[in-house]
Formats: sequence, C-alpha cells, structure tokens
Amino acid sequence: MKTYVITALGTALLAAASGASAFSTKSCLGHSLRFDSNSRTLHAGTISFPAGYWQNGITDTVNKFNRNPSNFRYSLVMDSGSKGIGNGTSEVWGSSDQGVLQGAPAIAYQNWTCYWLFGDHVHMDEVDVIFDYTAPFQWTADTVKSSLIRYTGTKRAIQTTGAHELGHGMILNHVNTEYNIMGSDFEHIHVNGSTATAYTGEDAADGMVFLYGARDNYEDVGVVHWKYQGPSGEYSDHTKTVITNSGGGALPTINVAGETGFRVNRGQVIRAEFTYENNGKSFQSNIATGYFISTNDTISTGDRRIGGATWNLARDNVLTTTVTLTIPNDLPHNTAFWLGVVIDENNHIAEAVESNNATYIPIFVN
Amino acid sequence: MTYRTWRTATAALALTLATAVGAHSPMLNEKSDDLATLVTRSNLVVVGEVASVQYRNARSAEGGIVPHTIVTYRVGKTYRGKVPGDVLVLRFIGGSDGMGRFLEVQGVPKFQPGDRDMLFVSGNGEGACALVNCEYGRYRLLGERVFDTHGAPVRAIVKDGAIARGEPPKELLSFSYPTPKFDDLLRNPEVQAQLKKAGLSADDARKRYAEGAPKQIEMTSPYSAPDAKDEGADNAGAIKPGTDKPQLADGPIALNTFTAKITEIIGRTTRAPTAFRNANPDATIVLPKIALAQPAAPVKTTPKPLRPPTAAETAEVRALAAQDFNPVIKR
Repeated sequence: MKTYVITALGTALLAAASGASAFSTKSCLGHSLRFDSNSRTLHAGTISFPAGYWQNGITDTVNKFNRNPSNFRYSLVMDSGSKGIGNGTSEVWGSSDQGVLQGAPAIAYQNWTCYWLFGDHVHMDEVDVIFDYTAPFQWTADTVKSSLIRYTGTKRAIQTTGAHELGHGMILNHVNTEYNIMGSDFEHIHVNGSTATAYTGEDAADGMVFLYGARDNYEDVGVVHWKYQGPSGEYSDHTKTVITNSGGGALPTINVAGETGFRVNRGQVIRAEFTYENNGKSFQSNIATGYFISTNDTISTGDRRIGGATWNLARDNVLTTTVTLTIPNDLPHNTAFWLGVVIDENNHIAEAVESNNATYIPIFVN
Repeated sequence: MTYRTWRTATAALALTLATAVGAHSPMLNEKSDDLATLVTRSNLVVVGEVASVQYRNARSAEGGIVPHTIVTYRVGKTYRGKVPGDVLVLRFIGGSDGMGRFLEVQGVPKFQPGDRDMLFVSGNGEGACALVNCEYGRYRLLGERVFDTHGAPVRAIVKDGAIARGEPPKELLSFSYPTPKFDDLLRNPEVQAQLKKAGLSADDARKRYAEGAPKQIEMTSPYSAPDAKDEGADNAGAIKPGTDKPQLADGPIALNTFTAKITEIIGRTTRAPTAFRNANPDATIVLPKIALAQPAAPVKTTPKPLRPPTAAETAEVRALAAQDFNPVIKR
C-alpha cells in the first residue's frame, strides 16, 4: 500500500438492484419443505474431520454458512460414531464409496416427511452431506486463495462446496440464472488479499429468509470480483469480472501474480466491473463505494482513492455493473497494480460481516 | 450381481467420471451436455416410456430406511446395446418409503409412469443410479421434442453438445408420489403418535383417511426464470461474458434430429457396450455399511507474494487484522 494524492473521481452512478429473486425451493402438498425449527444440529465424524486442520475446516464451513440474514442456524457436533442415511440425524462425512457419491465431489441426501392425516404434515427431517475424499478431488480447508482452483491452486474449498450442500439441506435447489452459491460453488467466493472466504451470497440468503424469516439487525453488503456467466445444466457458471476500455471493449490481458490482469495506460478512461450484493436483512440505499489503486492485492481505504459511486442494494438481486474511472497519470510504467473497491467506505452500515467489503482486479500499467 | 458387487464393478468407471459435471456440484473442464461422453460410456441407449414405478425400502447397516425406486420402461427403440427382453428395469436410490417419508438425492432423477425418455445406461439395472453421469444420462421427451434432464428445451446441438436453455414445460415440472396406503402410513411412528394424541381409533382414522387423503402427494419446484439483469445484458452496464453464444432454435429440437446425432456418434464410438441385466424388483437391496473415509494429509498453503511487502503494506495488513479485516482503515 502506498498513499497517493487523490487525482480523479470516477463517475458516480446510481443503480438499484431489484425484483429478480432466483432462488428455488421445493414444496409438498403446497407447503414449503423446511425444518420445523430454526436450528438443526449437524454431526460430523472425527474420522473424516479429525481434530485440527479438517475439523477447523468443517467448523468454518458451518460458521460461514450461518452468516446469513435468516433465522435458521446449523450447529455442529463432532463425534466418533457411525454415520448413516435415513437415521433421523443430519450428518456430514467423507467417503470413497461411489455408490453413495454418484461420482460427485460432494452430495446431499435429503429426507423429509409429507402426508395428509386430517391436515397436511410437511417437514424436513434430515440432510446428510458427503464429501468425496478420493482422487481426482482435492480439498482444502484453509482460506488461502492460492490453494484454490480458479486462482493458482488445484484444490476445492470444503467451505464453498459445504455451503452449497448445506443449502440443499435448506431445500434450496440449484439455480442457473444468477451468480449464486447453488450454482458453481467453487466460483462463488470472496477474495481480498490472500484470503478467500466462502459465503452464502444474496440469492441463497434471500431463499433462506423466504423459508425461515429474517433475523433482526442482521445487515451485510459485500463486493466480489465474480459474476454470472451463463447456465451449465442446472448450475450457473461464474466468471471473473473484467476491466474494459471506456467503450466496453476488451483490453489486452497479462498474468499478474497468477491472475488475469488488464493492461492499461496512464490517464486511460476505463470501466471497472464488480458484483455487489446485499446479504443482509434490509434494503440499503446510497451505499458509499470507493475505488482505489493499490500496490498489492489487499484493498483498503488506506489505498489511493481514484473514484466513487453510490449504490442501492436490495436482497433480491445480484448487481453486476461497471463504473467509469481514470487511471492516474503518475503511476509508474510497466508496473502491476490492483484496482480495488471498498463498499460502504464510510462504515455507515453496521454489518455482521465487514471483511467482505473489498476486493480487486489486477491491472498492469503499460 | 449384488449392490456391493455392482459398486465394485463401477468403482473404476466412476473414478473416471469423477470430474464430470454430470453428477452434483460440477467440476471443471467437462460438460454435462456432451453427447459423445454419454454414448461412449453407455452400454445401452434407448428410447422408452415408463410403464411402472415401484418403491422398495432397503434397511441400511446403520438401521435407517433407505427408499429405492424401481422403474420399468417399455422400450420403443434401442440405439446401442441390447435390452434383455421387452422392458428395461432400472433401480435408483431415493423415493418414497410408503409411510409418508421420502428420500431425494441430489443428482439422481425421479420418474413417473408415462414419462418418455432417451436413456444412456451405464452399469446394469441395479445400483444407486444406472445412467451415465446419473441424471445427465436422461433426456426427456414430450411429443417428438427433446428436453434435458431438468426439462429445459434442447435448442441446438453444437459439435457434440446438446444446448438446453429456457423454461421447462409445465408437464415436466410436476411430480407426484403415490399417496401412502393407510395401513402403511400407520407404521410411521409420527403418525402413530398423532392418532394417539387425537384419541382416534385406527378404524375411525382409516375411514376419514379414505375420504380426505389427497389422491397423490404433489411436489412442486417452481422454475426460476432468468430476467435481463440475471443475464448480465442490462444489469446496469455489466460486461457480457465473452463466450460464443450458439444459435438457438426458438423451441426444442425434434427427436429425429436428436437421434440422428446420437446415431452418428454411435457410429464413431470405438468402445463396445457390455451386457446389460435388468434389476430384479423383488430382490432384497443390500446396502453396505457406510465406511467413513479419512481426508488426505493437509497441505497448508502459505501465500507467496510477488515480492517482499513494503513497510506500508505490512502496516496495512496489520491494521486490517486488528479490525477483523474491515477494509475501512480507522484513522
């Protein structure tokens, strides 16, 4: 990080994301399938998640999933007992049995009850989440982006896939129409600096609030460098956001620390694309957002501010959009920088999660 | 062949499929819509209609009830392999336990009598899922038109990929299970408790059940239609992803177009299909004890910066860590 004098202001845009909930749930006899309480205990096996790294990972998975604006929360219990399907207990374990896994990296088994007996009786009973511990799947339980596929690594985070499967436990279906965790989970992640953090995201949050109601005072906005790319079967594919020239045309790219960077000129007007989400309970208006030039991939308001915008965000649509910014004239040639964004740059919103308020796109100044 | 033997026999194949998009939680570099993959890995390719659906309960080694679905297809036309007789009988994990409880497994398809499908069958009829890439080994047919496993219209075939986009017709969105028979429902402890609480005799309850129970257990899972914002086209200036968009037909392609492509792929497939055997609906389903796997030894990754951080960068990270990584630096 190096402090520069502010030299330019980007174009402030005002956009409202509205009216496009994509989440999908399941009903039986006209009633949404849901657990009959706002909590469910997950039993994780100590064989599959031994103390230390992996146990911390599955604990982190549940904790990250629980960072959502609904009233529902999973709790986690570690035990050494056997695990099973249809035993009335929600469990999570690792397996090498393809008869159970169906060739998937992870899978969710959903048990529910639905019948009529002088009235409808409909409730979710059990979800079992099973991870494939065999090759070619490689898992990581840490939060280092360089471990991950789509960055410079080869591994898949149990936190992102776990969040996807726990979403199935809420009876959230796959979604292929929006950037969301119920699509390609390994491409649904927040990154700032070297830290990659799994999260449920706006759309799943919206679905969970639909099923379990909203939690009082739970507010959260966030910004990521991922966006919706298109459908892939029942899943959404995601891709990284980009920087273009002022007309939206593609810029040459270059590898910057293992990620795609965009080549820019000093003084060039560019459009920087990011995805903004409201992962909280309430509509947020006029969210002050700053854009920064950083000498590293860790973005903060301590970096050089080059522009600003305000956004209105509702919890019913993911907003992917661009802002127009000018690359400062005094940046050194042939040098990599990171174009950063900080949402809620004035800390106006009291958020449950503040660490997801900044991210970046690499650039290289010609 | 027992369930266990089937699993062993398919384990090696499953391993090769393990990166496929075609089960659950898609992986990289393989597409669920690749028809050549479906053909190559199949032992049977047929068009058929579901004649009957039966549910059978397996008892797991851990004591749980694990419903399975037995699907019998009347085979209309066989494109690859040999069906042993006039019908095709397949078994899938999941379904109704007959007592008002249900198991669904992500990535495993569900069937109703009257469904018409093109199936790409991999193993034999027994096992948890006998289709290539499980649910992705099924294409739905409505009239003479083709839809993917989730009911989205197949609107183009590009190279060997079947491109399905758009809203499923309502006929393919509805699903129902049979209403439990009262005496079966009575075996459900929850039902027993309710009857006891209500003070109803079984005979009184049976009579009222016969009068009031729905004819079917209707499931609904509404389709979530994309809007322009989701597609990114008008999302307040989002940049369209740079993927080539295929030319799509307005509606689903014709079955004969689809089967012509399948026939062409079969013609250039070198792997010969192996023999297929129907599932036995009356066989006891033996589920193995669940073996808990251990994870690989953790490989902790240490971030590698391009260069040593400057003093200012170190101070920035330290400041962020001190405030739970809120990027708004407190002055």
